[in-house]
Amino acid sequence: MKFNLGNAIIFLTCMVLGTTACNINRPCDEPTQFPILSGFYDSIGADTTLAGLTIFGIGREDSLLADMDTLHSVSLPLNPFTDTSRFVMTFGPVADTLSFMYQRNLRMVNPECGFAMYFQIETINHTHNFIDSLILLDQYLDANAQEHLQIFVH
Amino acid sequence: MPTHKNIFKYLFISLFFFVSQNLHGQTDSLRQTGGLTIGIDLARFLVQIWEPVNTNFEFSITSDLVRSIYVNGEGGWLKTAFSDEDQNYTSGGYYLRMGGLYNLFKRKSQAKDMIYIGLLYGFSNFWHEADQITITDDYWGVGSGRLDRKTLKSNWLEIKIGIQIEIFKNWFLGWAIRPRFHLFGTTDERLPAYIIPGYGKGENNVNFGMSYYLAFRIPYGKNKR
Repeated sequence: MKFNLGNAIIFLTCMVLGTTACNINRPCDEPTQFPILSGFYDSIGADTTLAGLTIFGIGREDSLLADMDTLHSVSLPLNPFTDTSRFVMTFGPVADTLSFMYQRNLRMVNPECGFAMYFQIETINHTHNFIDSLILLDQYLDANAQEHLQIFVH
Repeated sequence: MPTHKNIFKYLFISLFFFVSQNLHGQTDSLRQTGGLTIGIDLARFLVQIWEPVNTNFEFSITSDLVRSIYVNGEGGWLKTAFSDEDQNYTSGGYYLRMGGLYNLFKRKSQAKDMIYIGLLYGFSNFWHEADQITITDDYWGVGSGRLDRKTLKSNWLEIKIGIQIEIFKNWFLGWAIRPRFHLFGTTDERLPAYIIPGYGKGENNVNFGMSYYLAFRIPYGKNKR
């Protein structure tokens, strides 16, 4: 077979195009934190809004996740350094405590984003002052779900 | 803006046309010899430019077996590392692939160009470790730790589809696309391997690879085909 310069140029061009098409140097555009996306519902299952809601994590009483806010949903960040997270929700004169027990799974997201902790919820407990019940929609927390937890209030 | 799919399409069509053009006009009067083809994967060097790979070398050996069927073995070494103020992760190891290729061209002449499809079994023995791991949480704060080195193994099946073109006598260029399907292996419960040498992303059950080979053929004997 004779060497054909034109064909070799086509080959090498395609080789470079094909290679660069496969790989793109990118900044960190992946989520690295995965809170529990929680929605509030009334006793008949309709979306509801809670006015004057205060939320903090036990151990971080100095940092409120909600401060007398009006909310129909809330993101509860699980502690990536322990296997249990507890949150206190105060609604008017009453307060409830939610306790989450979970598995933590460390992963390398990518070199740009570094490491992240993924969660698999195993157990949820709560007191019943204004919270009636809970429905866990997805025990694996990821960034794709619209909602992981439904909180039904009296 | 061209998509990856379009670029691959143009790549395949142009190279298919290129091979077809060169196969046309081959004379049938020349005797064909068998051979051992030894190649290196040039893509391994290019990948180091934009991937967190420090060292990646891969070679390939192909030999005629029977009519249109070839034995193909590949081996390589990969070491990857990325570090900044929050992380320091390294991994490395060797990999081997072994299997067969089937030449889709009916070879009536001395032509050694190929469009082939093959099936390879892949194996990797590798390690990984993280001297520094930092997790940052907007609410709970920052924590760090480290993971000691752990040795792991992985096995996979790989389909190899590609072409090989003779650019000078006994010198070849070729590329191959190669979907890989994870079979089994050991895992690190503390942290899944980010990259498995020779396979790709450790967390994926299916990976997609690509190779660009420069190869030299050592002819031997007379081929009875």
